[in-house]
Amino acid sequence: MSKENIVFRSLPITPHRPLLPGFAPALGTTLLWTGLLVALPLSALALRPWEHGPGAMLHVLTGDRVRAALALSFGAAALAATIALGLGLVLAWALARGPRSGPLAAVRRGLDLLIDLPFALPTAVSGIALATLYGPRGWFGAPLHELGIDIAYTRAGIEVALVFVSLPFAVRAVEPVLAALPAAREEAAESLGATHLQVLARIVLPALRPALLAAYALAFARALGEYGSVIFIAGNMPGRSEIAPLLIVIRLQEFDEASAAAIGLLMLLGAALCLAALSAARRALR
Amino acid sequence: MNLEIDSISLDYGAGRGLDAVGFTVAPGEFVALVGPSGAGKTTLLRIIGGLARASAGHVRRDGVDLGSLPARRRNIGFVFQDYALFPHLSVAGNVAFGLKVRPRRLRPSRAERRARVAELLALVQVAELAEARPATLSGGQSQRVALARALATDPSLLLLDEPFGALDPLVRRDIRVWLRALQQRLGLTTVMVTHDRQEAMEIADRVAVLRGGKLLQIDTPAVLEAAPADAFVMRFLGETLEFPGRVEAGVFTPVSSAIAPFAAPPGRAGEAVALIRPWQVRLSPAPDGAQIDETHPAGAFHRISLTLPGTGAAFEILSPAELPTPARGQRMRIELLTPRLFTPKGEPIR
Amino acid sequence: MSRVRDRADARDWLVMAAACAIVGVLLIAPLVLVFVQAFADGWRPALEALREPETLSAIRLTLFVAVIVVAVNSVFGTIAAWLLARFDFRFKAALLTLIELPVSISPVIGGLVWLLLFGAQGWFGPWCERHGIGLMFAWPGIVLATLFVTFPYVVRTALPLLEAQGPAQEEAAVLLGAGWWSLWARVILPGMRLALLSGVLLTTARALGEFGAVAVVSGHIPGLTNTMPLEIETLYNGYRSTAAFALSATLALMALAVIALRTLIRRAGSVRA
Repeated sequence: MSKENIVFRSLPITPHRPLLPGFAPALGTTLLWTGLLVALPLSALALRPWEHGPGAMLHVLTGDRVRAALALSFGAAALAATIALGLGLVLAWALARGPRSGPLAAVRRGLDLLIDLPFALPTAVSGIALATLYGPRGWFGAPLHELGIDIAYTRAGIEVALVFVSLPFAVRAVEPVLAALPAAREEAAESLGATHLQVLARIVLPALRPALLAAYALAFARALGEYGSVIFIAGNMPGRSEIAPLLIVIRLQEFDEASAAAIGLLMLLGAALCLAALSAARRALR
Repeated sequence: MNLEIDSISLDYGAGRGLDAVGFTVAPGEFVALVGPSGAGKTTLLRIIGGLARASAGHVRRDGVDLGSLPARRRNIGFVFQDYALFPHLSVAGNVAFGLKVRPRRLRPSRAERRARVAELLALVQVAELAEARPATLSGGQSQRVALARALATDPSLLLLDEPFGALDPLVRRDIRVWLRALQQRLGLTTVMVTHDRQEAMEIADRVAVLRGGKLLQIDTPAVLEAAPADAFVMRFLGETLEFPGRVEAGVFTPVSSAIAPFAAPPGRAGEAVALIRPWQVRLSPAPDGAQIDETHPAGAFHRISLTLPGTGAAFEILSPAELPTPARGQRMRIELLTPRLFTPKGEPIR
Repeated sequence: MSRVRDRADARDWLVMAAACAIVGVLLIAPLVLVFVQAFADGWRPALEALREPETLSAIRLTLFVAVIVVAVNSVFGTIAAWLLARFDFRFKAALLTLIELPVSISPVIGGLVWLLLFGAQGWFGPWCERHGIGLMFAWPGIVLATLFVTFPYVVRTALPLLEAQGPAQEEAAVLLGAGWWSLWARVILPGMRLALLSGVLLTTARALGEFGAVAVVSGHIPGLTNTMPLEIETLYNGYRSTAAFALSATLALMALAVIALRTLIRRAGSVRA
């Protein structure tokens, strides 16, 4: 009958696909908006690194400073996501399984509000706050310095900032899944004589695996791209404590757009990998 | 208003959809669409309403093809399964919606709208709820409001999608009787989808039985009951007992000797199965009959459990409560009062 | 280990204590520090720092950019969410991925991409220069970068709600004769207003605080192209700690107030539902 049916024949038409007015204008507007604000800019990112040939791009990415920055960014993000996952599991447990009545319930509700703090706080604010807090004269930095531990302007400082920003993502990915796990399975395991730790290791964590993967992917993606909260505490020594996003900014200040684009493209691929892991995790959750 | 469904087809793939479904609905008639889930009844209703597109076939109203007419211009009253009331509008706002969204030159004045809303709310007997929010209504009240909203624009056709599905059984019966009375008073041509066969048989002028996207039969409840198009229709429309046997020389002989043979249409021979409703039997004492296992009162009937000798097949029949109930252990011969015969494939033998 | 228990046992106390320790050290300490540092020398220096012309200009620019970004992304995000919730079409999954992408990539890239288009060596840079259009290192660049970074938030909050609601209300409206305009004004927008508001507030909070993307395209001209986060950086790197923290406290209060409002709205919504 209509043209539309021919165009969409290859699609599985879901039952009860609504026949609401306004499909064409909505599609047109959305494509225009997404095209101009996302697709066009990202295609510039995808194409511009190659403008001086693949050799030039390879040269950029294999430079010592770039390699060190990329290694630092990916490595630090991987570690930060691991730490955030561990801490996030404790927080998610407190939120999802914490007492619903009594004095601890109020604590639980308070935690629930505070978890999203790093998400709400502008990154420049958390950046200078963390740098001051862990700096040699800061509340935490000074006593640690007495003990011979320096955090600000070292790799440890980078990790602190990355864990700070990625923690809410880890918590919020695990919490609803943990809350929705049927209690009966754990009760059955306990009735069979399993200890609490055995229940955790053999029943709860395996069931959480897709959620943990999602949490890790989210935390990693956030940590990989983070800029504002890191640069104040990182020290930014080329080759040692210079993260890849900062190197992009520096290359741009040197008007070397092609190099900046090459580093940016590699980081985009990292983020895309995270998204792929995330959608795999979401499929497994369904 | 005359509605003609002309060989509507829709292909979703995977054997779902509709396959050349066609029938007509006379002016003022109430037709119920029934069938197991996945039969395509809601899809068909949505195609009539203009909410889904058929891949072939036509819907005609008084001979005019509705195919090119968008849903908003069809002037069809539609009551959704979960009512789909607008939660941000009051009951009156919901009912007035169809009047308010008309183009300016066709829009009734505020006073006219208010009068029409009051009239409709009185008609569906919830006048006192005009200012209430949909979230505060009970299921039965929501149902009435949804109906008032659908009637506000004087639709030429009323479509109901599982209108009683979300109601509890007690309210269900009341509102069903009330809806039927209202439909007859307004003379509204109505098509209703329901999965409840008993409801369909009680409320509709004619019932259309669908299965797997095919229309098996559309007839009045009496004809459906007396002459089902196939064994599926008979089984679907009510509790059924089945007795296998053979047709030979104009006589059906059941496998079990506890069941009385009866006359069958001449000229057919071979395996057959007799289907009856559990209350369409008569028992008479016989030494080689079925054994009575248990009896229970069940309203106007006694529910009697029996076991056939030989095969050991157990089943239940309903016997009018005013007849004497046989004692447990007694043996009874079973006479089938209005049996319908089908081939093993389910085709009717007439 | 049933989910609903009345009495807390030792394990609960242990988990809650650990959770409080993590949140206290990692999350609350930096926030408290911001306010303590801002008022370290009393109220007066903090307030004076906020009244400097560069600071006032940064506050104005930040609010100006936020208003434009929120307006644009809310309108388009709402339409996109409705499209994705109500229709099936080819490449729908790809479109959704594209819309979601900006939250997963570095904000620095969100600025970089615009330089690659409109910078001096960009695809359209020379053309813009010839025609006297200066997008980069000026407020339009800041708007573009912020648009990119806050792109998906409205879709993300509105889409699940629209999917959960289902199309029945809209179909009912259409069957009652509602046209495109009535459908949006009387049914779709009122039905999603809480989710929409929540998405708008999220976009606002992000737009106020965006740093990485804006840092790339702004040019850092105090009093002209410095937003609040950039001005914080300038002040902090200029060893003007009190001023930096006073502005930080202001920005943090704005962002936290927006997020708190959003939490309240979500609570109200979930109570009603």
